[in-house]
Amino acid sequence: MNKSDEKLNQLLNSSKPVPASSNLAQRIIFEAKPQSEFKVTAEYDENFIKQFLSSFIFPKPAYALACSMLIGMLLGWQNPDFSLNTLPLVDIDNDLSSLFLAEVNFYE
Amino acid sequence: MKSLQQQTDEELMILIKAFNHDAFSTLVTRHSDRFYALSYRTLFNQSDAEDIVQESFLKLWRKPDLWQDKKHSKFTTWFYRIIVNACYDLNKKKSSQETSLVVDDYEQVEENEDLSHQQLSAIDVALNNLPERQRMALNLCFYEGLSNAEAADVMGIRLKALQSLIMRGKATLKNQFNILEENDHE
Repeated sequence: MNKSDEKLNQLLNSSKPVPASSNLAQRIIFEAKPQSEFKVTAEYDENFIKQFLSSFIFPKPAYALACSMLIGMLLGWQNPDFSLNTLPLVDIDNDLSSLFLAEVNFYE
Repeated sequence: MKSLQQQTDEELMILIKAFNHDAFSTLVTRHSDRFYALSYRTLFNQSDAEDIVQESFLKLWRKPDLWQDKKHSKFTTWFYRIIVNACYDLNKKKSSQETSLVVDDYEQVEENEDLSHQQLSAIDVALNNLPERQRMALNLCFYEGLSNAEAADVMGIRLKALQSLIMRGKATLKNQFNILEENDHE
């Protein structure tokens, strides 16, 4: 360290901060006290609400199942012609009769 | 079992996370003067400095999870960073308020500043006139006794940038007080 640095350090050391109020620490501690009680109550309320809401939460597979069912229903509504009742039963009869006729023709 | 006074800051923080008010009291009593000194030397205003320390500690109490012991950082280094940022924010707020004042108000502010400066020593005035970051670098390294690496960490800058800030700050002060480098050769 050179002389100019030493002089500067002496000068800097002469600076003393205005002391803080004697009760600064006590004031901070006091300000935090009521919040601690409030905090515990607030934490309790928060946990209760969280637990209450969590009882309504479905697991993820349930969402997937519900979504696929919903999509299935929507597709079903969009294609009303597609149902078991409207399957072309008549065509099957035709097919059978045509098969029978073909067999008869074969033997003839 | 160790008493609260014997526990380290980091151990106290773990207790504070469990809402232990006594641990908080111990931490505040242990460090409030040190952090006040830093904020005073940054702002040169007693009530602002006290407010900064109070608000920072209360913020810590409200949200102790902000401190993460997994990062293995010292509590004091981390809290210095909070104080430094709070001081920067206050200075920014003040400077924006001053620019929005009309001329008459501005004159009034200047008068008040002159009065407050009269109570400061010459070195305090010189420190106060330094650019904010140079002042902070000097405060942390000289008055708070932090190593250059720690101070750089607190200020969020690189080591070389910090060294440069300190050098420029010291050069400005030497110029102001006519401390000549040629004395070195005597």
